[in-house]
Amino acid sequence: MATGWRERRNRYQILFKQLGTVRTNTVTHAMIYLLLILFPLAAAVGAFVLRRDSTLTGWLGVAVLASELWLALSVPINQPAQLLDLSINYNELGRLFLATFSLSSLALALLTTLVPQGENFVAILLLIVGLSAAILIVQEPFVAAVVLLLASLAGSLQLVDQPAGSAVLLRPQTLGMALKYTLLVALGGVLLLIGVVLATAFSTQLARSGPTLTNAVFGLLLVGFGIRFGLIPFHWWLPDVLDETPPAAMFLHVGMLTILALPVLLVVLQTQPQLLAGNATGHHLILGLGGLSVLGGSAQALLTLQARRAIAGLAIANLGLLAIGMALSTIAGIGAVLLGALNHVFSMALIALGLTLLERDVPGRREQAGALRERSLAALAFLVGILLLLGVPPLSGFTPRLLLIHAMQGQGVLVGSLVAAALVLSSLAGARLIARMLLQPRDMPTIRSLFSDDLDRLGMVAVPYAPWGVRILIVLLASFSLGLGLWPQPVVMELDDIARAFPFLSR
Amino acid sequence: MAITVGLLISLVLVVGALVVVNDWRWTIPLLLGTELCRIGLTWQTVNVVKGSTVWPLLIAQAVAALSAGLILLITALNFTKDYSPAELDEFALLELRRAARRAQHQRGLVTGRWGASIVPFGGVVLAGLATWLLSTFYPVARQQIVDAGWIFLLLCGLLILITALDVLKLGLGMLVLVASAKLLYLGVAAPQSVLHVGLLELLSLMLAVIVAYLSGLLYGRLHTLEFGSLFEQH
Repeated sequence: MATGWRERRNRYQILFKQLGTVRTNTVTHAMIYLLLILFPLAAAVGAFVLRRDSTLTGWLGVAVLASELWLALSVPINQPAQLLDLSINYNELGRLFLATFSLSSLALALLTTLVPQGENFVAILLLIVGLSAAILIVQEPFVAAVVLLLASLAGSLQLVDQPAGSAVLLRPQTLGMALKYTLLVALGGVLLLIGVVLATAFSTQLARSGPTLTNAVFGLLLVGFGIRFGLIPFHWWLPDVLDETPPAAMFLHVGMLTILALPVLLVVLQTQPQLLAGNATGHHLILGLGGLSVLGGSAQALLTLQARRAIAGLAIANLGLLAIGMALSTIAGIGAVLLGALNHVFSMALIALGLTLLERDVPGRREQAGALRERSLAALAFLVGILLLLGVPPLSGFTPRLLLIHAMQGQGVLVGSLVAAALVLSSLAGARLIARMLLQPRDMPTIRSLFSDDLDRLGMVAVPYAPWGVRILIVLLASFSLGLGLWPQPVVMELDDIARAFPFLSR
Repeated sequence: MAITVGLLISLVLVVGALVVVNDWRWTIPLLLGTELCRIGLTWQTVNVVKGSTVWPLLIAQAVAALSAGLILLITALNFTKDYSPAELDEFALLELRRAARRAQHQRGLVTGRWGASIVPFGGVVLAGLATWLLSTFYPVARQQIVDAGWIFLLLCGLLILITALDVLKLGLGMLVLVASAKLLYLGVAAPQSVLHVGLLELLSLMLAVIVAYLSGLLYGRLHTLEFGSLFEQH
């Protein structure tokens, strides 16, 4: 009798210990996941307090983003936990996106130590990284949509941000662009939010109403997503943002925030797969918007004479290709979308780095040849960024193109020829942009013409256009992109596994 | 039921007036009226959260609405003051004259074509008709009155964005859109989450702050809150 009681007691003790371990682990994981969200947010407050000293805030941003990158890569994944009645989880997709955001933002924060950006740039960058972590970890459609809108609105403040102590007046055009951006982003965000609320209620309230309401809800989601993603005809804000802002801000809005809309849409479709699965109208709508964006963006990039407008066109075309991949709704298509999205962030970060260093005026530096010769590493950053957007082998931008072409088999001649034509157009536009930006001599007047005698002697002194830290980072990022392009298998396999888990795909 | 219908009618009248009127002395109190009607409608039609947490949630919504209104009111008071030409340099005076010309031109256009209020008023009537049709044939929320409320707020928010001539009115339009999303959420979601409601209120406050910030910049640059001159081709 006593032995049986002892055995039972021992069994219960072991069971309680196991339960305790499970509970402790769950709490620990929730805390670690919360740390991923709150650490950049808390650092953003610090950066806001120190905003007057751009170098200090730049280094603070570098340290925080390096730590966030390390955390993003080392935190255990797939350990679901509960927090404030919300299920939170940090999965492979979240890890890939957060690591990409952190690494690209780190490069831009490092740039801030060299070229002062708006005084709140680092604070807003950290805020957006923290909110991105929230979207990727919470994975609940409503919270994700509201947080995306909050991040976009925070970003709109950055558009009118001036460097600390700047004596330059804000241009009326810049104010107009910021107003237009805020208005469109708020409108798109609210439509996305309404679509999410309706989609969440879909199974109980809307299911009995037939396909009309399904299409209406999907339409609301698509318009909201299209505005945030910059798809034609909802792209009005994108070229203006590229025209009027410094390159670092360009990365924030066209690189990070646009791509952040993708996880939000994926979360919605994961919870409500019937919105896309078997919805032919929905597929055609996304395909139409994607096709329009690819063609329109490429044509705009080819026809314009302004470098930034051409970059905007190429970015729109690339985002259009991602939308086409979504419309295909196959494992290969979604793999192409996810890899293409990560490439888009990298390419915009590299373009922003390169453009900042190319446009930077360095006192005492004499340049007469093209940028490729005079500022080789800045030109390399810009070149690799553009080649990533174009999907040129052997860089990592080529793999998503290949996956997309593979996924498009059986989609008909029309879609194939449309994408082929757009790829040719965007390649031509890209080649023209690279030739204009990197090969032609800079058209600014050189100091030589004014003080030729003195400066002839100074000609031997090479004033650096970027510190070693930034140069090393450019080489690292370009090598990373090349490495990923040459050995894409590990990432492609991981994305393939991620894509297989989405319930809205056609098998 | 009578109270609910009364609240809906009040909401329709207040939001309709918000679309038509342009003076901030009227529009900001009208926004507060809209928010109060919305909260009242929520209280009457939706079991927000069972038990004792109903009142704190409603009070929190009211406080957030008052705060957003207060932010816009302070903005309007600060940035619609008369300027003193003696304090301005020639560049500021030049831009001021340009903005004034533009504003006069736009006012002339609107008055010359339809009269200042006919287009917004017609829009409100059409929005009302569309609201009735949509809420009758496509019911989404638990009660048709909530459907009518959020659809009317959404359509009128869009109308305000289309017809607005100054930044404050644009901000009001965006806040009306968010109010529509709030009413829809509380009318559709079951059970409602305090976190969700909190996030929506945070969104309203953030929008109000951004509108105030942009208004400050615009007034500092052009000495007016009308944004027409920003989009002129220079």
